[in-house]
Amino acid sequence: MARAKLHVGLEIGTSKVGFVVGESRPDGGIKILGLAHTQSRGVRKGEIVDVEAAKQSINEALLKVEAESGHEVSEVYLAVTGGHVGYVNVSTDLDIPSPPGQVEVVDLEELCEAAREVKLPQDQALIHTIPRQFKIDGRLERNPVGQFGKVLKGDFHIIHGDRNRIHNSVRCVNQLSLGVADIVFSPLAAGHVVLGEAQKQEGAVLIDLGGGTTDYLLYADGSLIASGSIPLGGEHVTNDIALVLEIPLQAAESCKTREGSVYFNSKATPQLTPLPDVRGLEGREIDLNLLNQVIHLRVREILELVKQRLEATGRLQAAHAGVFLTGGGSLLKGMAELVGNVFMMKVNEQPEDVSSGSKTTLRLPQYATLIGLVRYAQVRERRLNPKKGAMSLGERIGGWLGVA
Amino acid sequence: MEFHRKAGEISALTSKSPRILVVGVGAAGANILRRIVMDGGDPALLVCMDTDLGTLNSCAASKRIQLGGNLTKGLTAGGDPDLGREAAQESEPQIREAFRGVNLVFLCTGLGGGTASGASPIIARYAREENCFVLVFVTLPFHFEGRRRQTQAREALALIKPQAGALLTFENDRMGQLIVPTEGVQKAFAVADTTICHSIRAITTMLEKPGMIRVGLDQLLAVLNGQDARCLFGFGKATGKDRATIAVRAALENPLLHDGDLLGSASTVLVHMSGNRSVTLAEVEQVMSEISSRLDPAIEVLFGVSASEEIGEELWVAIISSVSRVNGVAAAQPIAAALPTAAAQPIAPPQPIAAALPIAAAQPMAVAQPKPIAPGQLISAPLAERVPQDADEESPLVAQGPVKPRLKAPLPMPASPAPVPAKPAPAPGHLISEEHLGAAPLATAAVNQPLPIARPVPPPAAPTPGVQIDYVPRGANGTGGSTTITLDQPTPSFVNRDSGPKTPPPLPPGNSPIREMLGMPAQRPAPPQESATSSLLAMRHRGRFENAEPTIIEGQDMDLPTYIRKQRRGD
Repeated sequence: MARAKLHVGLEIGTSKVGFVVGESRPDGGIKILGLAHTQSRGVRKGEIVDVEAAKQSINEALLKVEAESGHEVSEVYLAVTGGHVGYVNVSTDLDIPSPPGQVEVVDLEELCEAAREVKLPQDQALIHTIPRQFKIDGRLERNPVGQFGKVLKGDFHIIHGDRNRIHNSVRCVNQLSLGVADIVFSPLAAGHVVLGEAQKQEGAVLIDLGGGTTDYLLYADGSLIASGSIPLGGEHVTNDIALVLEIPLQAAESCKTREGSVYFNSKATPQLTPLPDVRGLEGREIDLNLLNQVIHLRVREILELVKQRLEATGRLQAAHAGVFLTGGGSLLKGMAELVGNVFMMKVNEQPEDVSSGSKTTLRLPQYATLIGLVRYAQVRERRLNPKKGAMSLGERIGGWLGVA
Repeated sequence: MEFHRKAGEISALTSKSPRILVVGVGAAGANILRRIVMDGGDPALLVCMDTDLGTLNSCAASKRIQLGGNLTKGLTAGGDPDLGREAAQESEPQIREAFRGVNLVFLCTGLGGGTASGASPIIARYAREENCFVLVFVTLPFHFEGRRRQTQAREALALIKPQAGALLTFENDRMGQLIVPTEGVQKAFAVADTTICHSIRAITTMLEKPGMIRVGLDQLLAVLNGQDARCLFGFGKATGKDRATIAVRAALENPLLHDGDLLGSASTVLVHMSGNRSVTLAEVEQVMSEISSRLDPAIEVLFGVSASEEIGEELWVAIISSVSRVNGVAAAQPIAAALPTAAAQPIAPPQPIAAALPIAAAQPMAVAQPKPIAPGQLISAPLAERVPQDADEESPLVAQGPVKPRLKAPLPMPASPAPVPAKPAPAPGHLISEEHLGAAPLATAAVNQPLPIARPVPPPAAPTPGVQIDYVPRGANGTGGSTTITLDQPTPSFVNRDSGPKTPPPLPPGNSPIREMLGMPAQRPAPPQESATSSLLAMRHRGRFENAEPTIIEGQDMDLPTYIRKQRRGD
């Protein structure tokens, strides 16, 4: 039997750089062979601002993951995000060739190619072309291949981002002698882990509260409605704490993760607590209530921005499965309640288990994007080489729609 | 699209197509006119005025007025401003006739000689009395032209200033330094002419060509309004694929805009694009997002696009704004302010200085450190970087800008309202690089454009008891905010060259302690800049996002803590 295919994911996040090496198993699962991360440098709001510093931290993580997995990394799936990423929904039509008058896979591909022709502003590059739904002569077809009709119509969700910024990330990786197999908009990768097919069908919101950005997806009726990234995240929470409480960033970070919560009671009296161990500031006390208020206001604001953007699509109410939280920020105490309050929806915190491996940490929300990269790679691989696996036609189309 | 319209004399000028006249006075003025014609400008708009018949005869303008025919008999004024003045007075009827029915006059001249220095103030006055809005472009003489011409130029400038609706000064000396010394003297003189020419052409195109989004004279005047406004102008043009980006960057990097940083202290900015029918929405969006990414959201942006087929594939971007000089001395004594000595006087009121001293002292110190390096880069530095600093130095008009264009963030850092111990000045990481200032992410930009809606400046909040907030704008209420101390740039060439009229006067005694505290005996604090928006900008303290590309959503700087922003809004 041929060796199982290995996929490597790389996420150059604002707070950490992570690598994951995963094995795609024939049964569709993935096995994580190695996962390593280092503290990120030179990245702000999801974008590389200092190439040299970023390269250094990527290299550190690379060495770690190679040691851990025993696999030499040559090519990665690279997650990209940042406020520059946007989307546009387009639809294209195709006359189905008259004899046989039956939709074939090549027709879908042609349709997709046509969608890729969409005119983007000059500085924007296309990242993903995701099929949303197909219609044959106006009737919705979940699986158009093999169906008869005259006109095939496809709706596509096109994700694009600033050409230069994406090139910067790719170049940075290339300079470390790594190839980039594909670039993946971060929340899509996370979506592969957090959202199952059932949730997508039901309609769901994914919010990935990262260090530098908050990324989101909205699915309704199985198709991707909106996606995007707000360049605000956990770093902003930390920065707010540091500025308002006048403590160093490092202390602010540990306050946030250890003491902080998004609950706050506006009537509560100041509640002093010693600042967690920060050298030079022994004996300094902080007001927990103020800390929580600062966190609450920032997180609430970010969530409201996401909600506002999703509401603009008019389909937010179709997300019946509720909100799915992921990313490091989702670990803040009280997040689920706050998100529920803001969105007035059910909130799900636990990601679906799609991977197996030696670590229990794999389920941590911080790693959703990383693991998702491997999952994305696996799905993409199957779509590109359908003959290698014994896949039914349905699976192939599933793959088509699945490379969301 | 609704624009704010300012009341007063402007309302008389809202006729559909404003009449524009470009007047060149003296030989230098004629040169500028020639360049305008060479650049494809319409000679019909041009009027040349000089005493010298030779200049008049060779001038490209369609209309020529000989000044003081009886007085100088067709010769030059011989470097005597008095003769120039009398010549203009003699020709008063012809001059007034030329201005009749005109709305906007561009008066271009090179001060220093007789005709220009003597006649220009008179001509400007006549124009104003004929109800024209007068926009004056002057060049100041080269150092090698001698002290007498320098002095004459400065005196003339002081006389023109009160007459001008807006005044733009270009110093040949400084412009000359941009050119490799071995290059022709022709080129040295041409630099200022070219810049002036661009400015005029952009403004006339804006006003004359039919616009998809029209900018009228009234809007232009609203932007430039104010007797004592300092005019900011940036212009860029480009062709090809990325023409929008290239043009807007060039405009922002224009000498008179100080790399776009001075826009931060403007209250209104007019952006105008012209191109042929091929201008796309994406390009407009790109230009606007580029510009608004450098602006405080509180700044009102007026915006126009006009179609002009004759400029071909080029895209022109013009940015026009003015910074009003609210601070007392400059406004009250325009003439005094025009003298180099007055320009050097620090105007900060004494009381706030006392309060703000420790911090104000700490900040500029840190900023001032890299400055001595700047002169070393004089020759090699690109045009856009050099000129503004120079202009700052001497010209009374532009004497008030923040000192170093690139040091936007730390420089105007204000004092804390509470007596907080002085914070360490931000680390050298503060230099804002071009990329940071430049590209605005599309997604952000979409929500970012504060197009015609003036956003209210959030009122300052009272500091919460027990919480020390050093972002609360003390100057936002217009009172005690002018404590920011900026320092002039001692360009060595300036310091060494001329000890005459340019030598800074002894500082008023009240200010010397500050200088001592700053540890900068050789430097002069410049007059502080004062406007509500600039103080607000100055309040920014963004922690780790200090030098990151800002995230502005719905007019708010999202990098500032939500907590602080809510406090400010009084939520």
